[in-house]
Amino acid sequence: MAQERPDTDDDQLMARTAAGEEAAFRLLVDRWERDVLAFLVHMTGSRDDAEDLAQETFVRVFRQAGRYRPEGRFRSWLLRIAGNLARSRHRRRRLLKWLPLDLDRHDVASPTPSADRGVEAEQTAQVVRAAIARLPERQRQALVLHRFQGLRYVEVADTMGTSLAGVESLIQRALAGLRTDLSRRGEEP
Amino acid sequence: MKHVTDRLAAWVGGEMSATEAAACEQHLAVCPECRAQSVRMCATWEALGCAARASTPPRADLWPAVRARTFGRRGGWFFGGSPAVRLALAAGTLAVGILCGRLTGGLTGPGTVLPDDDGSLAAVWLEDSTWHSGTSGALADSWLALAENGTATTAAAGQGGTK
Repeated sequence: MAQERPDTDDDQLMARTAAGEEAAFRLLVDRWERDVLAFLVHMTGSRDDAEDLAQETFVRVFRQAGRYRPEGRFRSWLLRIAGNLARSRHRRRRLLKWLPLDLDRHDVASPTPSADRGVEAEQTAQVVRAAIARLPERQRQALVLHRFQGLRYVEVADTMGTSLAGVESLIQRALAGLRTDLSRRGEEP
Repeated sequence: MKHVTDRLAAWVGGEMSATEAAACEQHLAVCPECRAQSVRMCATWEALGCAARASTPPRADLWPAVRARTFGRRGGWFFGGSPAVRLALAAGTLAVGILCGRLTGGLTGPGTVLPDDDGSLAAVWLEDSTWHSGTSGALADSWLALAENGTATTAAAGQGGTK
């Protein structure tokens, strides 16, 4: 799961974005929007929220382009912005007792009647995603970054501003918590 | 070796060094308790992989909305320029605004006379909000004299009418 795209390219694109080059910024958005969206879908449990937050993430990237330090860690920086926005929205909603995480709106594949295995896999996936959504916020963020976004522990630590040991502990507890949650609901993997 | 149950996430996620992984697997081979835990951990790990694979890839067409909130707002004559040009324009606009404000008495200042290149009076503002609207007669002559050294005095200001 090593990082495939050299962040140095992203650093150059960020420098050109800071200089006002629209094409460079568009390239960054095109390059990273799927990763950011996928991350935010898992973080929020809502496709609509994920799109909204992904858009906001890139707007913030643009606004902060002049202050970005080209240290080859663009992905961590980008996902940190996205993660902070997701956590901020989640807290705000919890505070205001707004909508809970709407798992029914989570984007799912439309199964065809003949694709029984696909249907079963999707049902399992929905159960697992629901369990992920019930994890404590930081455990969920660490797990999603590692398992779904393919970040190594060191990158997760960088993104979340914590230590390697902290990341390992978060993911260990997240996996144990998922296991317990699924077992209690009769969905033991 | 002690139990490895608290390190199984790193093991299953491929985050152990080769040495650590070898030691962990040696322990799993001889410890039924940790081995049972590792089986459950692997199952959870795989279930997560299934969940990831079963998800429809999110649509990816953010650019129009993002552009509208970034570069789309910069398409006018002012925002279309470079930062240096925008700064120069803003500074010039501010300077003109201050000058206009002082000429109309809206602002007070140190009492400065601005002569044109040909020596004629171009602008006057005085430090006590006194505004001289005429440029003829003795007062105008005194202003023109002041234009030579560039600074008005309170005495000169006192000869004008109050705004």
